[in-house]
Amino acid sequence: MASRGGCTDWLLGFWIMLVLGLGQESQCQPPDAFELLKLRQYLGDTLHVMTDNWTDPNMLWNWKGVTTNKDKDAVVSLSLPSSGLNGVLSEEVGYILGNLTHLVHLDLSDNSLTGSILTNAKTLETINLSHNYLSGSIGPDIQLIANLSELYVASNNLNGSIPETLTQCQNLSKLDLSSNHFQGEILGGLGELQHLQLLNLSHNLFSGAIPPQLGSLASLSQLQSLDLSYNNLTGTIPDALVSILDLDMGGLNVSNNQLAGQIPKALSSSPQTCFNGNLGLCGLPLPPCGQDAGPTQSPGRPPTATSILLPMGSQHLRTWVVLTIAIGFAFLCLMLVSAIFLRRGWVQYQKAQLLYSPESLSLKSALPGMLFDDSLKDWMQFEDVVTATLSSSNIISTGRFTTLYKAMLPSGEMMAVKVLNIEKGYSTSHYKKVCMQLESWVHEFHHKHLMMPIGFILYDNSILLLYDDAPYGSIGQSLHTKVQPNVLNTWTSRYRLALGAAQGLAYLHHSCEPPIIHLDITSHNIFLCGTPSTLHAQLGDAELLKLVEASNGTLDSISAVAGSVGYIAPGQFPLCFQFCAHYRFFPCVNVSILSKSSKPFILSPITILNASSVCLVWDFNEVSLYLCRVKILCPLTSGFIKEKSKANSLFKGH
Amino acid sequence: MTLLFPAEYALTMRVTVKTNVFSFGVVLLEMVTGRQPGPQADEEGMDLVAWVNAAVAGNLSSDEVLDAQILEDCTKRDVDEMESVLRIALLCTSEAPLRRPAMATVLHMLHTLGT
Repeated sequence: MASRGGCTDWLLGFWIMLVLGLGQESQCQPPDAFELLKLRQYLGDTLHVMTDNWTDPNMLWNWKGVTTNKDKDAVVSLSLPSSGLNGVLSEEVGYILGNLTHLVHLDLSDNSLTGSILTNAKTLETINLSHNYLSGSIGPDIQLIANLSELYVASNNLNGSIPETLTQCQNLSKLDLSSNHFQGEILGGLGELQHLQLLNLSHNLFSGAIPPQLGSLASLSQLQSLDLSYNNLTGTIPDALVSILDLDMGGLNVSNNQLAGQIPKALSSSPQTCFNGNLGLCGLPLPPCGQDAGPTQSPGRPPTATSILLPMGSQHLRTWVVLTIAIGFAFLCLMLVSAIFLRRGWVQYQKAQLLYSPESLSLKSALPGMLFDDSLKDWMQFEDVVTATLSSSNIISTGRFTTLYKAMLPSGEMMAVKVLNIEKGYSTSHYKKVCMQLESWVHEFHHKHLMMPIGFILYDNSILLLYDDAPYGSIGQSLHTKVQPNVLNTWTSRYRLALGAAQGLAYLHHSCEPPIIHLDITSHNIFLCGTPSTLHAQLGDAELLKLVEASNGTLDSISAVAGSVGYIAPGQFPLCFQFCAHYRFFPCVNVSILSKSSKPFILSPITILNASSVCLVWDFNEVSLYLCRVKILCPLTSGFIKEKSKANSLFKGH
Repeated sequence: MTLLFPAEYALTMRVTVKTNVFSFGVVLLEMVTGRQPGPQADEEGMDLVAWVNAAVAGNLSSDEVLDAQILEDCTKRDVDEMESVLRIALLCTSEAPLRRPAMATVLHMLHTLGT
């Protein structure tokens, strides 16, 4: 990683310091300082956290992210989350960590590290490497970290199965493997871990049955959260899990698997969301067994043949009858399809495969989402909406934060779909929670002149917000592009629309407490709805603020809150920063703009959440940039960590 | 581990209801003039707000300011209304936030055009 030259330079400096005898008290520098300085050479340090703070080896205890023991000579904790680190956790890095013989706590989460999970540091008790780009599997030698108590590796690209040796880490209390590609069966042995409090295996490819042994976890009443959602688990929910009843609300989540059968009675008071999206779960809190299994589906997904049939087959005989019919039916279909293919010829078949198979396969896993109005569920399938949006080149409008598409469903129904990008590092369930908060809001703030979502779908790092069709596009589109028919060709129609938009905005400002501030008012965000005779304006993006609030700033699209060019009020801090390095999530950094005359503006974290600090691009031209100076400060330390000279030079340029 | 300000707090620090009123004023200007909101093609370095202000200050005739596309089909009353809306829009786009009317006022003014 580091150049040889850099290394020798550093060594020279090191020896000079040694010769000068900077550390009078201690005869030699702490060996751990030496190891950390080696580590610095192996990891990219885009924010200069290590470069700027790890300087004097005699001040090891004062290094950023480093905690030492009482004697101040050995590193006990290395904690550099969200610090802009990149590079590979290679074998060499492993050796270095292994040489830190007092290291107990390692937190390198939320960086851009690649490589694999290292097991060299045997003294570790907590490891947090979540939200990186690590790959490979967890090696069986994980057991060598005998005192391991917390292992967080969520949101990486890890695969393989959980090694059985992990169950020998008897102190393990928190294990989070969520949002990876782990597969295989869930180890029953995990139930033997007496201290386990948190087990999150969600958003992986785990298959097989839920091992009944997991029930023994709860018997020790330590376990607080068991999340197995979004896997391919089959079978029933073992009765043994009943003892998990002590868990807090939502402590157990088995949603979005392939589970079937009756939910154990003792779990009946759990929220429905913990069981949704399974193949055929029934019984409270879901509808009773023997009925239509529709509700266990993700909302909006119509019951398929299998899902209707399976729960009825709780009795063996019926299962067999049903299965036989199903197989027969499938066979018949197959014959029919083959006949069609034979007729249409091989070429067309291949074309059909290309067009539909891969997509329909990948979409088969029920897409997470929700429709806010039950009556919509009959005619809308999420898969269709996604396909229609993806294949559609009909962009109705592009706002500062979102893009609105026109989507035609197979039924011929038209709808509008707004696409927001989301952060990669977060689980689908996070965004699902965020979007579900919209529902109550939408019902509460219903207004003729606000374009409110009727549902949402999560798909491929995007939130798809669904709306009723806006057949005539936006005011901006109608005014500035020569669309036909031009419904805005009379003053009367324009006046009516202006009035409607004003009503929508006045409603947000004056009928909501606190007032709802719109994040991006432009003519491209006011849509023309209804028929030519009932044409009325609907203000779009009104829900964005709520979404931003609910998401804690994890919406990728909304990286800057500044409105669109030409619409930004002067004097309202109209700079729009785009930080262009490759950090995925950057929660701790705050930017303050210091001007000569006034108090510093504090740019909220939301402005730069998923960005870095290297290059600043703004798209507004009337700002007194020369007044500004950028400093980046970290609220964690309440101090400035870095003044960006590059940013300064950019400012001076104006 | 991480400190996040509430988004609401962060947003209201800069974006206020009066920021919205400004943006809405720009939309009104677009509808009255038919021009793009950003920098104007015929007047370098001017955005729409500056252009309209300059036009009004320079006593340009309404034919030159209002949208020619719809003007020919407009009645005298329509033109009066357009001019009124233009004035409302200029009020909305006042540089000082305090001088911008609240949306309720804007709505009232739009409702009572010409009366």
